[in-house]
Amino acid sequence: MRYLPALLIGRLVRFAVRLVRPGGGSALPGLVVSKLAPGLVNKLLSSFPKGLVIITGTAGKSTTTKMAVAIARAHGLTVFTNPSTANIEQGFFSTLVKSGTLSGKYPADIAILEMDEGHAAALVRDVAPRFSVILNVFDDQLDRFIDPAIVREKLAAVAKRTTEKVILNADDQNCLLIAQEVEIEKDYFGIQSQVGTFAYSKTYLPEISNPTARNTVTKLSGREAVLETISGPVRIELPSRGSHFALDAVAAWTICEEILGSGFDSELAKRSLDTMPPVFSRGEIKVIDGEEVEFILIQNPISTQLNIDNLDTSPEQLMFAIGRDVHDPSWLWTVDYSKLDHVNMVSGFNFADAALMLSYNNIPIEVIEPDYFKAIEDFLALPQPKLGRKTVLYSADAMRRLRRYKGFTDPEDVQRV
Amino acid sequence: MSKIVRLGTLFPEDLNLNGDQANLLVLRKRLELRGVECLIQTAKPDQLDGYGLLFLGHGSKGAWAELSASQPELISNFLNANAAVKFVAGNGVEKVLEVSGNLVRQSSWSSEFVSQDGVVGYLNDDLAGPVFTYESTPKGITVLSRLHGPILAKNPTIADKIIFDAGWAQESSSAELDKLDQLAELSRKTAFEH
Repeated sequence: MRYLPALLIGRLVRFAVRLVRPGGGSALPGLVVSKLAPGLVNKLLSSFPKGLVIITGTAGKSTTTKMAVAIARAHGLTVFTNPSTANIEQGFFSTLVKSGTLSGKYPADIAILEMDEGHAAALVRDVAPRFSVILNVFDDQLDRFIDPAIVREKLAAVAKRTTEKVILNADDQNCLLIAQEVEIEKDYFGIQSQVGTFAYSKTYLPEISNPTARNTVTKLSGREAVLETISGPVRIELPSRGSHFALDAVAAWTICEEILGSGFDSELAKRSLDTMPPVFSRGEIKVIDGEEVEFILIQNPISTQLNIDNLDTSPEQLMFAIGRDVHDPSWLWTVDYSKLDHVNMVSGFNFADAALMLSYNNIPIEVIEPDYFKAIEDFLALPQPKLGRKTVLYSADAMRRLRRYKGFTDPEDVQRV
Repeated sequence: MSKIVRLGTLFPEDLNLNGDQANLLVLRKRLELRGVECLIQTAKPDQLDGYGLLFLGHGSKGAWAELSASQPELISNFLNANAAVKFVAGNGVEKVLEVSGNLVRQSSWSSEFVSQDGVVGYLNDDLAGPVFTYESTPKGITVLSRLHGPILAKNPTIADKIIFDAGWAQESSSAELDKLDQLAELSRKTAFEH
């Protein structure tokens, strides 16, 4: 019971935060408990009978994790996870405060967590994962990690601390370099090049031949994907369109085969993927005042590029909001925006940088509105588009502010359309 | 449009880690808004003549390792080229200082927004010395910016100084330029509110 006082205080903070900001404040209680009882999470993450699974890499962590959790739960496992994309340590403390016992335990069979490169590398110093999934390395967070090679080193640290098996992306040379450092068993997932190719960070090292992937995406049409798995082809319907979601699905499928072993049921796994809603703001569609609005989170160059490339056409009505989370907005300029023929509204804390970037890329902007909440209201008040839906491309901070402002506070309240 | 300004960039696929190539978009737009046609072209390392400006951007450690091995004369050829303007951004500056024997490192890494003599940008290196230098000599203009990314977008006075000093256009303004300059001012202000 040594953690009881810290957890009680955490619950009180959570209660207080939710009184003043209903539905919000997921980070503060965790932050408080992390200061009072820093060893709590390590103890927790070491306590699950079926171990800890870490899903990491630059892009696709949230969706892959949500898919893996859905498949595992469909097979009857109870899972500890970090569902609100709080892929930082405080997020785990928050989840524990919210749903754990006062003795610091969480009644689950297994932990399946998404973690960014930095936090994952730090965590594995104290807690060794049973399985890890290394999704990819793209140019990202260079203000934090400086160079793609440093990102690769951090992911390698996670892989090397894994005790049973590492699952890696067969098509990313960075993952193949990491694989060379791993002494335990490893396996691969992949996507056929005619279905999807991705601009992974260049390694500038001699090419490593691609290993045979255990499971591969072989076809994609709209949201329908075919996975060629060890037990035969499986046709699934993705929660959102895009080859990156298909790659997330095959990664989730592969790790779940490992977690569940002989108990893995491909029919059950298929049904889980066919019915799961998108992770919030990853192509999420909300009905607001009787009108469908699509919300797309952009977090780094690759997610921005993939999401823009993935638009059917330039949206008739588009809002582009870059919030305070983008510390150094330089990366915004590495993306090809030529698919966009205009933007109706630019806002967010970094509105000026976003507007400068669009202007120098010759993309007409109708309105630049520094007041974010006014921008939201003015954009949503536009007459319904003749074609398609209103579309919001926004960074994580802009997403959180909009969701809180509009009352979309439950990350699980996302419907499949 | 009577004259064409050619902006040559070296290895743009590899030296654009922080959006540094966007500096050329900024120069092109500001030239076009003044009625001067401008082309951005990939310069071959052994054919550096004929450009008004030559640009070196920021690359990953791997990119620079490969370039150093495959193009050992790259930096000296760049420095000796006859372009009116040579512009180096991000860790391209480190390579130039290394070749010219002026590279000094400090003990700690700096990763922050900085302002030096009114030039605002993002720094991410461990070098000592000025973060931005603008040197104009009879041989030409050399801009070394350890501040990476699209620094000219945030600092349009520098972009215009290059344009005017190189004699590519006369000083003039327009509603669109004014709007870009206002956004740049807001962007500089925002940088320090993080």
